Amino acid sequence: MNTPIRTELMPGVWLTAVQTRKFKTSCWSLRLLTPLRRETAALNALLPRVLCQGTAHCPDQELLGATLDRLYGGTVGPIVSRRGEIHCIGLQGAFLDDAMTLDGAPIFPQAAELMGDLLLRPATRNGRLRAEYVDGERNNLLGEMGSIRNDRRRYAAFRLEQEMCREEPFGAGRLGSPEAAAKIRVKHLDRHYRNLLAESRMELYYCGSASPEEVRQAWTEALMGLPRRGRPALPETLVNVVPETVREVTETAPVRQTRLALGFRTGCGIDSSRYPALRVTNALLGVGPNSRLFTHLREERSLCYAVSSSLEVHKGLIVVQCGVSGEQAEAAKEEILRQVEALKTGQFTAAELDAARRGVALRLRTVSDSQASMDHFWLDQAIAETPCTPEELAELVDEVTAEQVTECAGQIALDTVYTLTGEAEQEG
Amino acid sequence: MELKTFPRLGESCYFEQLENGMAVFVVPRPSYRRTFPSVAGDCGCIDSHMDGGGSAPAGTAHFLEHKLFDRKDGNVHQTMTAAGAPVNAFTSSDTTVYHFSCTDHFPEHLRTLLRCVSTPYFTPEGVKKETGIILQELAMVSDRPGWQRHRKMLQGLYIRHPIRTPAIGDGSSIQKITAEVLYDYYNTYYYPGNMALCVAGDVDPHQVVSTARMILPRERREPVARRPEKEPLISVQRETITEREVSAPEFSLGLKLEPFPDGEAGFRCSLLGELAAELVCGRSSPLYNRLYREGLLTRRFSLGCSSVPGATWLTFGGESHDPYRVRDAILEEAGQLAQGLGHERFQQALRAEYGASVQGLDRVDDLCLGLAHGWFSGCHYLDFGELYTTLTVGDVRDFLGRAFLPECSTLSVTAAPGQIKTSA
Repeated sequence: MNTPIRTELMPGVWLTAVQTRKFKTSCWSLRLLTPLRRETAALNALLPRVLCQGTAHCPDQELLGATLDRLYGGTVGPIVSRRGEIHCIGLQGAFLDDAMTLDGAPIFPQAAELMGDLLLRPATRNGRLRAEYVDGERNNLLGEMGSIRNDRRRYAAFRLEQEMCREEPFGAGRLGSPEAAAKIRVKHLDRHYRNLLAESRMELYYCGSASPEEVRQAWTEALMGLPRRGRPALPETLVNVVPETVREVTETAPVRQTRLALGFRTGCGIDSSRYPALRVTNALLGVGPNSRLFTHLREERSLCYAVSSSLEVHKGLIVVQCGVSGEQAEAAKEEILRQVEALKTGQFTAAELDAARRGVALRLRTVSDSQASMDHFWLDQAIAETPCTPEELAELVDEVTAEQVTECAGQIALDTVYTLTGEAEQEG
Repeated sequence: MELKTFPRLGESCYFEQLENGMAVFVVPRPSYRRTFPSVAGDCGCIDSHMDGGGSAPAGTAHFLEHKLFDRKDGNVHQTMTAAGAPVNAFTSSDTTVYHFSCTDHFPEHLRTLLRCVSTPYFTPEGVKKETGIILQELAMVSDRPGWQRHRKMLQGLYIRHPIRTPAIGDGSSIQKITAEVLYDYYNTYYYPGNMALCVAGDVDPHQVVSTARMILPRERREPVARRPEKEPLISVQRETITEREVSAPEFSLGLKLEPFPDGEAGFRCSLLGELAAELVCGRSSPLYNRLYREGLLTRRFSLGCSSVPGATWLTFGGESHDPYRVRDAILEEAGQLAQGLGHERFQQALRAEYGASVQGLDRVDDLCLGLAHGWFSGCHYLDFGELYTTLTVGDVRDFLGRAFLPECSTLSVTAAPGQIKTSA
């Protein structure tokens, strides 16, 4: 049943291979796992973008694009994500599965080679990454950092996290700071690249019709020449941070709708025995139409269209977000806090608990229907060092009791409230 | 039931049209845990005609989609989700879709959804409550620069076609929607002959058909063809600019085409349209890469070919500090390719498009939507595999020569004051 085979290919280089004929796509990813730090976050974010510009073999986008086109519209792209205070950066690829080609010629070997080339054999000049790619991608990265502000929802979550974790590495953000990015030159990035290759724990993933043995061999060949210094360990994430006082941050922008973002600490992460209860608690609070937030803020009081809570499982943060009209913002905030209190005091029905459990369990039980979901699930498990399958976790979720939820909710503490509000009424 | 196989794609599809006119498609997905059913109606935001007379206020199709989950004994959005079948819906320009996914008790959940779409329950209280929620949804989308830009692009292209009207409606039209309006709209568009049920999953196709037969009304009503007013091919406005705070100027370039015909011919045209757009400025095209190197385009760039009854257009959208130069370059490149597109580049792009479409079959929600759209417009979605093989370099050249005319284009730009110089 799509259970992956995990093997260590080289010291600290782990492969998760899922063999299945379910999909018409073969899905590939490789990630370097490195500590998230303010000093290096922008370098990390820039690196995979530069690597995607070209390989020694296909040194520019046109040649790389033509190669991908010939491989039936394969795609490759950068990965920059966080798992708690671990910066996961790398590359992903999606290719037509070999069974689907028109002429029967296999794509698999070329896909593996290309993934390896992108990481280890980039386009260079005088033995270094190309300066024009570093400069061009740095400007693009700066542009992307700026564009976060265009999406008010993302921006509110981004600012909340910055304020809430201002003294922790997590506050460095996924992309790092524009100030740090602006200073990057080719020599910094090139040095950083070589260190990362040698010193990072690495996670590889493949999902498609090839056998684990073929995949192991293909990745091993593709990563030939990867430098290794010892066996890199996994970076750690700070989970047990207790807020002393609640911080309130309010900013203005030319918006019609006020955005509210409330950040909570749960003191519990994915490797905790309370993790299944935490997932259910978060769902009960704000995931889906039966959640307390949806029922009370939207259905009962018509305060907002969208209200939900999300859980960062490695750092143990819950972020509640909603969009409301300016004059209702205070009422919405009070209602959100009232719902968190309700969970702490066990004021929820058996039916609500049941719906929350079912929602979480359903998601877990359908992980195997999506190649991307499997990639994310197994990466999370690798980081948590809890080798539990989606089905096993779903069974634990099925068993979560009201007492466990109340106990879990009892640990939830409000840390920061961020409000983005309109300067004046805007034209629609 | 009729079973059609598509060996090239490794797909098969069961089909039956019920006595009441509803189309039922079942695509087997034997190794999936999840079953994904969707009910699509051939009506969307562009449809405002009402049988009871008059025209529906803008946003009615979308408002109705929100309210159809209401029942006398509760809200289906909530009850189905609580029972392990998360259900949702969306309204596009020409289609409204209700869908859910589940791992167990599929027949039971399907009955609930079919009952829900075939027996409306609209009340003044329910409508009043929803008005507040939808006004907040409107405020949310209005704060997205991309939404405004796209809306202005369509208004720059079309003078009469209802695609001009924003799907969600506006502040005043939303408040004109009452329970009576919803019933009238429902009675105009929601009948089996105007709908398609598509299921992807490990299910018994005959059971799907018998469930639909049991729940839905038996009476057959033939769909009424839409009669969009004739549109000139010339765009309304060549350029528009919206001032608002954005990190970098954003643009949508729209190109108005002769509406594609129905049926397989139209489907083939839409494959051709996507292919032509990719050749002009897709990720692997020389033009895109030149503009990217010159700093005129970023990775935030997309393109596509869209078609609804009575309107077809191409869109190129992204961010640029000089959208006017990007537009000129795209039009010029298309002109050159219309003359000199080589066979090798054509083959390469065709192969890439084909591969991407096959990979798209892994997204079962898109597959179900594709089947419904195909049915409403008179073709079979899974025929794309064969249709790609009929496209020729001559077709693309011809398309490029007709589709990229400056007088049929509009450029909608969003920028902060002083961020950009206008072309004039």
